[in-house]
Amino acid sequence: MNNTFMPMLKRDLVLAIRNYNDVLIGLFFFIVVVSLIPISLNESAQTLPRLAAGLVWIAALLSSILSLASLFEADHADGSLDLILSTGSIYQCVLAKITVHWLITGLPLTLISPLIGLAYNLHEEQLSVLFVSLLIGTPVLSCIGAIGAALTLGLRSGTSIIALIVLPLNLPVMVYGAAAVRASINRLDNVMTYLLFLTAMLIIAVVFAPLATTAALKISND
Amino acid sequence: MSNQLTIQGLQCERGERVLFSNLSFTIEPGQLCHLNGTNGSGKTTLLRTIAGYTLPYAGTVNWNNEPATLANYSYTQSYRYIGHQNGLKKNLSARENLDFFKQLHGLNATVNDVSQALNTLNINDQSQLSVQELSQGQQRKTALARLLLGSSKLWILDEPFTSLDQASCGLLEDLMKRHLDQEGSIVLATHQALQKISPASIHLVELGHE
Repeated sequence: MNNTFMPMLKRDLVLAIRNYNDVLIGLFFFIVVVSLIPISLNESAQTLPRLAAGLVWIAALLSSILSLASLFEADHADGSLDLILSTGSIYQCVLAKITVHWLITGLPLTLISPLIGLAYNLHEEQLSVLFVSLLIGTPVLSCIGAIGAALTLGLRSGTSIIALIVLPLNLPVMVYGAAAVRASINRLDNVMTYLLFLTAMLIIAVVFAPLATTAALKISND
Repeated sequence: MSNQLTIQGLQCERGERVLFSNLSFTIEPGQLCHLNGTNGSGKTTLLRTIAGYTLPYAGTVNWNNEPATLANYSYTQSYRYIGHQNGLKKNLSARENLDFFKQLHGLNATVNDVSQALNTLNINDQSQLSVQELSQGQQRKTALARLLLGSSKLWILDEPFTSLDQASCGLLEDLMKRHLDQEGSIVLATHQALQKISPASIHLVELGHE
């Protein structure tokens, strides 16, 4: 059986670079959400850090969902999905597509999160916890999101249903991700516990999400 | 190896409607199975069932006495499916699309083979343009160039003549004839009459006549 991961990864990255607008939209959406909420809440500089953990994580989740609808939809519409499903390893193809989704949504917002954290008045150590929690947590969002995208493929109101399926499933990631940052802000010593839990979720998601996604794709591409 | 496609007692449904039932036939190497039938008689569904994308309601599709499903790697390696959609990425060039297909399916086709496939279908001059700049017919020919990469035994073609001009239709028939001469087999759904292929090698299947 041949390696299908690399060709798939390469193709989707090339496509993402040629359609770079789509990538930027997700990133700007994230920046706008995390900038607007403090303005509307009118918090003082002292209380802002307490908000940071939850808000940044919610914005990351929404931004990740924003681009999920197109994850398989384009391939489904132009018939490329048929070619993908008749390869030796659909699992590798799906894993490659999830990886690209993370590279263009999760990774950019993780990289700018320290800047956002600064705006929220976080200290150096808290910034690094925010960064690491997003680095471990956002791939899980892409993994779970892929299952939702595959399940709703070809449905008329696909985009809104994806959000309904994926948002509750992402709850554990958000709880532990935000908890890690909050623990760091409150100077508790269990930051590491939360991050390790996130890592465990990541390992489980990377192994099993492509399997579930593959099965869902075969059904949806009827 | 005999490379035989056997369909036995096949029943397919779309929604709640039975399209056809108890359909049985066999295609041997060198044979072309011509699916005929009105719109909505289940030609596309049958082709997608043969390719393993749609599961039959009842009956079996076998390739060399093994189930013809997506999980059967040696089967998915042996066929090329060209459906209604071309399976091309609009932002990639014709050549990039074929290169991707080649790598994705692990075909040991060289750069030359890709050029040759593009040449055969007269689209080599446009191969660097992105697919969205090509005409419908040129896009179709790019999709059909996949048939010439690697060595597939079974071609599953759904209305392959759509948007092709007369010369290209003749060319495609020549390619199909050559494939049959090399002991390949074809399942084809089309409303067009085949002119160059000898009737002796055509197996006609009528759908929608219950």
